[in-house]
Amino acid sequence: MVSVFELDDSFRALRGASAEMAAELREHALAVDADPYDMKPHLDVAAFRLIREFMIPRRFAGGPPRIGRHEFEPGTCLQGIVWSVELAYGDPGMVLAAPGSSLAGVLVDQLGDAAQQEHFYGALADGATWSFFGMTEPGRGNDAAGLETALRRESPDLYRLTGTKKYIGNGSRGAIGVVFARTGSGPLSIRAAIVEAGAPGFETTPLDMVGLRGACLGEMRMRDVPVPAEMLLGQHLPATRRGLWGAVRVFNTMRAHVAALAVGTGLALVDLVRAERPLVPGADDLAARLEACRQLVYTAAAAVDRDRNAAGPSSVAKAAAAALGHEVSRWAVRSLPPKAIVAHPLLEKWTRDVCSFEFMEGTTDIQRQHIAKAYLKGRRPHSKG
Amino acid sequence: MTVLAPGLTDVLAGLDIAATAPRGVAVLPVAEVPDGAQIVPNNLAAREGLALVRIPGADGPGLVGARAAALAEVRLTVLRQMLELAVARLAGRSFAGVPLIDQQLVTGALADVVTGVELASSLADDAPAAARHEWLTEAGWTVTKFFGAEGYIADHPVRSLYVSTLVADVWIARDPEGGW
Repeated sequence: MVSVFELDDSFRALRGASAEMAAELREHALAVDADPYDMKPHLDVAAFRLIREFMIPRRFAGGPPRIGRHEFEPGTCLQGIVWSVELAYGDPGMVLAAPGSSLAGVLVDQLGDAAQQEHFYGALADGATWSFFGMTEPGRGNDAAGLETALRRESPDLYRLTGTKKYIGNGSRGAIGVVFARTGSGPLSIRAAIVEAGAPGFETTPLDMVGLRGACLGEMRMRDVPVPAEMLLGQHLPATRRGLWGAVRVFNTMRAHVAALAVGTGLALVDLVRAERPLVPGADDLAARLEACRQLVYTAAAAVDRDRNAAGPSSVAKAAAAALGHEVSRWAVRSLPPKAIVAHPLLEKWTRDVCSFEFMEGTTDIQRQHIAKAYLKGRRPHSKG
Repeated sequence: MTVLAPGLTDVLAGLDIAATAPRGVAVLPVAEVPDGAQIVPNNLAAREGLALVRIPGADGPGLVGARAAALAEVRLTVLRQMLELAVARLAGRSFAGVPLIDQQLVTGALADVVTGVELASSLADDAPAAARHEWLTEAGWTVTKFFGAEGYIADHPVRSLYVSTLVADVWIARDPEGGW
């Protein structure tokens, strides 16, 4: 028996509205791939407005986001997943190119107090400003517990931030964001602070990416960057909830997002091939498997909305969708003649883009560990009996 | 720079490019781009000293037979170079105190690459070239993943694996139903 995740009327309306915005995104995709730092000609796309409305907490916006007669609560994982799949069908690089709060916003929502949230969202209010989420360090990969960037307390009011972050989305175009660093040696000493790119001692270098170039990865080097104490997130929370706890919750959300991007891109590739070769073998099978992945992603998002600590479902969705996205891209290339690589620049682009889903928010090996752990944890009570 | 561009130069030596290029597209060493060809901007290929080009009027069969096998040899060399680089990286980094090269998931993937390389090398000479090249592409992707996020940065040598795939995707004939 298959359990189908049913979207209610409001989510179906959101799905329909975002699907209508996909074509416009696609028109801008190649230009952004060629020069992702020249975003001015692309900022007015309807999808960027939708993303902004659905990511900004209600009190910083004119009102709640609406689609037709439906009103939404911004910031839930499921609504983000619903538009992510549809917009990625337009182009995944464009989704990542959207200005706004992105991952950093999810963390600030979790760990920020009212003043910090106001400061952060205020800095992004113009709709043409990007934010960064500074976690990964060169040479460390996903080993968050081993991070080395240091946050040194200089006075009761001031900290100094020193260290290097690499492979950070919007790393060199973001104006504001969050940076994880340690104030001491224990796991609870890892904290996150709101940091501004204009601060003294803060330098960045863009990284030339293989694909998904709208994400604009960069390296951030910080040397004694002044961070006012009031910019440390989580001061109002218990010690256990100030740092990595928040990061884990962000990653559970973002893994579902990456899976959604993979599903949307995979569906776009299937349709691109079908348009050229309507009876192409394999298309129905792959489309059905992608729809199964869409179900996994919706289910994972709903699980995250029930409990932001739910790691298992979003890891399953991400591992499955990233692998399938890559498989679909190989099928697409093999199903068309070589000239398609030139005749359909989006085919060439998407074959590069899908590779990114492996690397973002934890590689498949990391997801496999989460999946196995969550499974074993879930069955433990039963195995006793 | 890897052996990809010089290797491709050798594979194409003495070949009438316009008569061979499949349906008017080719990936060529930059120095070999013929007059009249239009270069299609491709950042990764350019970084490898190669160009993706359109050759108006060309309608060739692509690389077949010994030349397709020679291209596979070049790709195999690139793959081995990147694998060595990956192993050095994996040995030098650790997760939760254990070197990556000793993590079971990594050793399993490493074994898969070695197996894929052996399979690609063991195909009969007259086997369809596309099968050999697809194994190399798959093994190349597994090696790429060993580099983590570094494996997605264009100025890292690992880009040669993406370009190696592009070269095969353009030059190697696939199943005749595939619209060739």
